[in-house]
Amino acid sequence: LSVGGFHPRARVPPAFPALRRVAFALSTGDNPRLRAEAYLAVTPNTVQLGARLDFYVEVIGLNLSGLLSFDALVQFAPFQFDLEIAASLALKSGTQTLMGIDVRFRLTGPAPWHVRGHATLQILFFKITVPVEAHFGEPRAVQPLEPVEVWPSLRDALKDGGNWGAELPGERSTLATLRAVEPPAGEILVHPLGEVAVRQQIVPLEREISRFANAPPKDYRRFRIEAVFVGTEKQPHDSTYEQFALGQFTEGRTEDEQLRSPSFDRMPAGVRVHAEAVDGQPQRPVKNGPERTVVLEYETIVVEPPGDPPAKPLEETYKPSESRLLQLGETGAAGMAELRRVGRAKFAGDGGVAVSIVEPEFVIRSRVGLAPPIGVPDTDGSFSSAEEALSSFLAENPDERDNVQIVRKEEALA
Amino acid sequence: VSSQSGAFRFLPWIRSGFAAAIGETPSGGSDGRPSATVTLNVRHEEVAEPHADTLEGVAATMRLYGPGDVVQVNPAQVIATDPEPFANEFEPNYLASVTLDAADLPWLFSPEPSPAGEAARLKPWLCLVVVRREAAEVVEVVEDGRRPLPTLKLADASGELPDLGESWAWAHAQITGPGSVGSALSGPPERTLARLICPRRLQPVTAYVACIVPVFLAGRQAGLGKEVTARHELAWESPATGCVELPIHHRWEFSTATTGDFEVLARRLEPRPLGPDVGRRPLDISRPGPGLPATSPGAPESVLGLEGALRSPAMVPSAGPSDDFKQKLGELLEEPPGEAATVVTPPSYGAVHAGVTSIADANAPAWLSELNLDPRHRVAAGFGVRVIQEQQEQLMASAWDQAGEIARANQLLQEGQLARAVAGSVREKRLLHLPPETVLRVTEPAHARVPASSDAQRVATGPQSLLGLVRESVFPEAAVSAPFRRTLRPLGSVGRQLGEAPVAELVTELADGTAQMPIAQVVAGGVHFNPARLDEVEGDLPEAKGWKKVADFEELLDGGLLTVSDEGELGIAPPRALTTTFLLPIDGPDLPDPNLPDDHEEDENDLPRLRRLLGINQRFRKAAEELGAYLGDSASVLALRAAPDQLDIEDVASQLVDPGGQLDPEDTVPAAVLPLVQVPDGARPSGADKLAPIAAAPSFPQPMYEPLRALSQEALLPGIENVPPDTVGLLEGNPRFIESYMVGLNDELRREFLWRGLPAPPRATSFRHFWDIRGRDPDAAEPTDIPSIAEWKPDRGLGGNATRVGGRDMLVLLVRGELVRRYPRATIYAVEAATPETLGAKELHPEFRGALEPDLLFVGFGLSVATARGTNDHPGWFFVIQPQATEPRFGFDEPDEAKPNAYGGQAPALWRNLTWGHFVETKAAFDALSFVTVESNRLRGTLREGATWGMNGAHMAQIALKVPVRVAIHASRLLPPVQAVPTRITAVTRARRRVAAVGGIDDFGEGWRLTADEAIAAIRAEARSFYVEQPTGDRVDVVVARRRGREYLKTTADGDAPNNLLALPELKT
Repeated sequence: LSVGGFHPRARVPPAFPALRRVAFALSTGDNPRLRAEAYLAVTPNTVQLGARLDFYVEVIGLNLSGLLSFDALVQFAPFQFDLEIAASLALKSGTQTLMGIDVRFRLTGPAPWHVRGHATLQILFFKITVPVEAHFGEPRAVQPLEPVEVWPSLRDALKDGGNWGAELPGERSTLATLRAVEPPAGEILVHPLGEVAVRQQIVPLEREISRFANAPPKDYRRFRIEAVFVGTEKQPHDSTYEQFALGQFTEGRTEDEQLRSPSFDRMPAGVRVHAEAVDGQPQRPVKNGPERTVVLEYETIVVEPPGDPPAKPLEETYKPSESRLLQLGETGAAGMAELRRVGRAKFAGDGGVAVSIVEPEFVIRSRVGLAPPIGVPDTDGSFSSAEEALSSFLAENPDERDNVQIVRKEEALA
Repeated sequence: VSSQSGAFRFLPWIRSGFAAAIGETPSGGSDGRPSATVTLNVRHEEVAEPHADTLEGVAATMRLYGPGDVVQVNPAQVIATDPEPFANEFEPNYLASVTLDAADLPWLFSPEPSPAGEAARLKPWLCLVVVRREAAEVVEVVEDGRRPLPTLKLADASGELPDLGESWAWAHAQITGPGSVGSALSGPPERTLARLICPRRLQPVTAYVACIVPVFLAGRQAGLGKEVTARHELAWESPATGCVELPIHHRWEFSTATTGDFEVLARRLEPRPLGPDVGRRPLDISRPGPGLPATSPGAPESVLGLEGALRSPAMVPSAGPSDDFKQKLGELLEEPPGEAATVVTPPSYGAVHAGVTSIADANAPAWLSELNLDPRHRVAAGFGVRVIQEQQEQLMASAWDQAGEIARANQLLQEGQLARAVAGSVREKRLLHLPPETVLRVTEPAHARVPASSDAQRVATGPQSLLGLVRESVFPEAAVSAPFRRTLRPLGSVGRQLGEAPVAELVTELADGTAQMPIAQVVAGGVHFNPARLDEVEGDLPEAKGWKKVADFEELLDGGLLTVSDEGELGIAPPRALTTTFLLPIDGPDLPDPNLPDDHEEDENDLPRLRRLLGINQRFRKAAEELGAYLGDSASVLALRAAPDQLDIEDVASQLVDPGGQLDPEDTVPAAVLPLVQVPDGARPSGADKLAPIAAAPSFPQPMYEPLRALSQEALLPGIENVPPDTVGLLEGNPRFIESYMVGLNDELRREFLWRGLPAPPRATSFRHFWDIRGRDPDAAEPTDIPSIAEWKPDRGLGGNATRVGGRDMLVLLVRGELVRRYPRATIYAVEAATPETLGAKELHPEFRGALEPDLLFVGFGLSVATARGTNDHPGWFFVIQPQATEPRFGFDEPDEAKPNAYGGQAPALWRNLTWGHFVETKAAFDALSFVTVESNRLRGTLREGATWGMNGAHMAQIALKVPVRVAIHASRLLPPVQAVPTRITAVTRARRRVAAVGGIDDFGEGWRLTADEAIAAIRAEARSFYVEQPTGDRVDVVVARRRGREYLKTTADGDAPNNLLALPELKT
């Protein structure tokens, strides 16, 4: 929540639009000029506010301008605040300063308190600057944070209806218009055609967690969804993925490691229910009643020239071959349907492969031989899973620490 | 072509998605919606106990949407009805039916569980009802948010509505083609559909309303805008009585006749030649606009004949505009010199595709000026422009879909280009001129990731990284490590003292083995770093490998030996300076303190320290050698290894940083970027720069005659209103119009891409198809097509590049009549005649087909008219018209009252012979019969041909299926008489005062040449008629004459000798 933007030192969410300060012009016209700007922002962990007052008067070639501003940022956990005050007053002739005073102070703290600032006084060509810098109070000892429980948060996320969805196959999303209905409390309303999937962003699955909400995890350090049951039937499933920040869930990464690894990585976040895979491709679940096969037959009538008696159908019926039937079907009702001629289907391409961007894949290789070291667990190609496989490999083979590395898949092939 | 007979598969129900994942007995919730519990078994590992894990279930309750949640079925899902809307001759013995596109739609929202077993009856949530028009009142939608659907009001529903308890019997899914149901559902959409049948027996000559209505009461309540209170109750009790109000998802009206089947409609078709008014309409150019010569309205030269994509063969193209007009138009298209940026000129269609900037360009192909200087062709191209402008949003959406992530890909590639340029310049300025030793040091972080490529340096044990090579060699890895680099960096404390030269010297010595540091490489198997003693020995010396090993000199673990030198001398001592070596067994905790050099307190970053360490190293090596000699062959603990290879630093360095080397950004950046950008074949730029941005050419396979038809049917076939009803006529495609239109489309699309910033190659031809080629023979030669415009032959005129678009090489059949209105998707194809009366086996299917409102159908065959009609030698071809194969119809035969057991009686051996009389015992009962019952039918349980009456919807579909009829009519009956194409002869070839060949210029501006015999054959086959206009200027026809048993060509004005022909100029070959 923000009115007029953020504190100049605050980290702004990347997609957040740049906001202009709330401004008040307290005078009309250019001379004298009095103008105020302000902002207020509240984020889950901070309150930020600030204001700035400018004025300007010009009389017979001399002008007097002044500035008064403050910016304050209060952070709750851990408690910290940052206050900056600036004031200045200058008497100028054109752009030449005749007399001026400028005072700036910044106070941050607590533990330790830190004041830093300066006061400058200028009269004609003489300028005196007094810097001020002081620390007081003891640096706060880094308190080991209380371990937190991960499982309750994850469990709630897996039960949350907002994290569940029934993904409709694209072309079939418009079969029918549905009423907007609220599901009964605690239940999740899904489309019967959908493929039910859950994805949460609380914690990555199938990855070792050594940090959660800026604290070590208390209960569990690794989660994996092993099986999915619909009713009492076990259903095949595959993983859904989300981008997780690597640094948020791992403790003790060196600066070098952080620099080498991507900041976000694709990690398992949930599951999707589907039918048995065919050729490695997950299939939509399909059920149907027993089928009846009926051969297509035509009776044939050869029209006689006018005047002849009406012809009887030929004895033998005409049975088009299967490939002929498929060919004829192209111009049938389903082939010519208006559905294939509206919306995006109207000018759909011929199914050629489009340009796409793929995530880089990482593998573990020997630093000496460039070959995969023996005994390294399989990975899904993501950096985080390579990192995890590497650390489990090193736990088994501590001597190999200097002999293995994570590289891009393409490098390994070189 | 497979010989297996084509078959349908009828299924009683299909469910897909989560509805199919639910077991057979979903537990219904309190509100009637099916529900299922999804349980996730989560395994978690405890923090405290690394291998202790537990399993815990998380359950979430899913509720499926039911019939009460549906507002409306998408009307486009209804893809066919039987009969067609407003048909007025429906046969009363047939059952009305409706076809839906999605094969699982009828059971999608059904609240009932999926059934098991052979019967497999599942009630659909929609059904088809047919009510008499006079009994029904249809209330249209009023502007009321609560009532989205029109309603069907029946004041008295008795006898009008079917029994919903049997609704499972009258719905089925249909699949054609092989494969599992699941693969069919995700396969080509034309192979799957669903159908609802109304079991009502229709009365002759009666008007009906057919409606898709809900089966369940919840659906009825939702559709009527009421509160949904029902659970699984049906929408009406059976038998229905009293006033019933039902929401309508789809409806249409029709009426029945007494007769009027497919055959009768096909017989009505009559061949009629189409007149010269079909295919051309007037275009007034009397006021052509600024800069162009105006003419007086009504004057002959002020009207051009604007042609369409189809034309009657009898249509004669009008003359084009005057040369003056063309010249002025050409000037208008040119940008005036010097004012290019400010003047907007009319478009030069296709100039960019032709690769020229102006139609006056010397390299401009012939078709370009023909198209752009003739208002008739400009109008056709303008149709293309209008189509693009009207459909631009959909086209661009699809183009971006096809391009995929091209914008991101190009950004990535451009970032790659930047990275390459920056890295290249760094390499150029900093790396290339460094001495090899320094190169080796500064590139250390990459050593583990660069293969040692030189075979000479490569150890026989497979691929190796440069790091591996360094480790194998005598060169200490530590000498390229970060701490070593830091210590010796030119501006560091040591580096300043030493200067670059000694450092280089040191590195070189290390590389060729004259100075050796790493003990570990001398003594195999015994030397380990002892962390406990690191502080003691090394202070905070950096922990890189080589240094550790240097520090290791004191100890050999493994319960081995300790070697200590008593030499405390600093400096690089020659090996012979080492005099004494102690070999002491390690036994227990009271190890003697190693004899450390006593100055280890000093700053370890300084030069003496370094030198000292080197000295220690050398001494240890010497000591180890002496130890080995002392122990002799019995020494297994301390074995000296063979002297390792030297490292050729210059070679390694040049392989790394030289142009084309392993760290050349020309290779490394593309190697990192290109794998991330997946590009379809052919779209990758072929130029030298691997990181050049990609341009994707979207292609649209859709038949582009369709948007032209939507624009105006007159544009497609001018004079369409002059085609009489129940007519079979002959048409021709008009390649000049089609090419102009396609150029207009592609040109405007190119401009649209440019405007919207889609990176597409400017000369790409995105639209290639004019006609709809679906349903053509899969093995037919080449599809109807225009070639890529950039590849059009420059010497050909307009109309000379399109292939198989219905020109004179093809036969385009136009069918207009009630048959087309009732069966708009009927199939027309040709079957070779075995005799003039009987069909052969060879089928020829049209190369394209299309439809025009209200009742016209045209199909293009790769046949000539003369071939189809047949000759004395060949019986010709039949044209066969048959109902669409995938749209079977349902019903039962009328009882034949002449037969003794017209009513009652045994079910016939074949279900196709079932009559309405089999359902009842008497004629009185037959007259009262209004619905086909299932459960209470006297045929219940009867098994014929594998299908049992009343089993399920699939069985009932097979039983009620009517065998369709196809009608074959010989081409000689169906085709109007051939009209010879008038052709002017302008030149001849003479041989001994006789005409050996004739020639001229055809409509497309191309020269033609026929031998005399060919020309005579063409006249005989009525394919062409020839005339001359010289020497008199009057038109004189050419005929075939016979003299002394020989046929020859002459004009009607000639006597015996062909004087008029021989007066023509000589034909150029």
